[in-house]
Amino acid sequence: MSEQLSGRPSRRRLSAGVVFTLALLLGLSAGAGASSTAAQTSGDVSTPVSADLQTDPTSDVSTNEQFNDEGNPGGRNQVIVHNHSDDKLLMRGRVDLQHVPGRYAAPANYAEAVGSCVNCQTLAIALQIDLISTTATTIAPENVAVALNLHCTGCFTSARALQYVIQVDDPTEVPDRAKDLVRTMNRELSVVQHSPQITVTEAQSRIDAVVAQFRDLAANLREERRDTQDIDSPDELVPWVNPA
Amino acid sequence: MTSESRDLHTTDRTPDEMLEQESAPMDMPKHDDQDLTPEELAQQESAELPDREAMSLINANVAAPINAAVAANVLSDNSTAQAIAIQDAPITQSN
Repeated sequence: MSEQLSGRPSRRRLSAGVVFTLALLLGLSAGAGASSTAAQTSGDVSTPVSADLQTDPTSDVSTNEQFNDEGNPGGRNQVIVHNHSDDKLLMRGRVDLQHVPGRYAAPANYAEAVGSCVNCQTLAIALQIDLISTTATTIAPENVAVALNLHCTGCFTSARALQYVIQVDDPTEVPDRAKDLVRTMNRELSVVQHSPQITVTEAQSRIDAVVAQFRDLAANLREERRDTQDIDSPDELVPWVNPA
Repeated sequence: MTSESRDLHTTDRTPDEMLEQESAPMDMPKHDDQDLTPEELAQQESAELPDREAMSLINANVAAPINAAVAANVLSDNSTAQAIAIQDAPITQSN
């Protein structure tokens, strides 16, 4: 019996619908310049920006730079924040710079924020720049953000994962400019961390500024490489010059 | 008892000797010393194998970036969960 006559969707159409719904929920995407956003609200939400919100002393920000050998596909930048403190802002951030010279590059970047409290805010920020070789044959970077409110009332929970993969001729080179900017980002995040009574709005705007700087850094690194190629030898790849 | 079975039982060889004779190649000379002579060794030619990548029949490049964001409220009230994943990975590969 045909689908139209029966009035019931076929099994194939049902499975396609399930897959599409799952893809929407998970926000999965692949490819260059991919961006996934997932947000969910419950009840009558008014963004909590209370002035008496205190930063949890266990908030933490850090930077990391890792040089991998030829056989290592790259490190994992992982930021996991679980907030169980009522009326507190808990934030963790990590800026990661990976050097991956091998033929197999699979760095991972992961941000997870979970709130289980009352009137609390939880922020997790994972920023990763991966310098990988132009001769890499297998490139499989992984970037994931997970935000979850679990038994949480009046909560705001945010997870951000930003990953920039940049191909360079010599990934072992250390771009001084990148190091400077990583230090700047760390300083900005530290301001958020050590502000005793910062509002979520202020924290978000500072984080947005850091994210903007982070994007500029990645764009600059890529731009420097392109300029070098265009000027020196438009037809072939030339060694990337350190933009110090 | 048949004549054939009678013959088997009347032979002077042990079963092991019979088995060894059946499994041995008929026209292969048996060497006591298994080492190669210098002349035989000189006849052997060897060459260094190319790199594994060059020998591979499948010279494929793989680009498989994964980007995902998940947000959920479970048993929560008046709450917002927000997940943002941004990935910038322009990949250039050539053989």
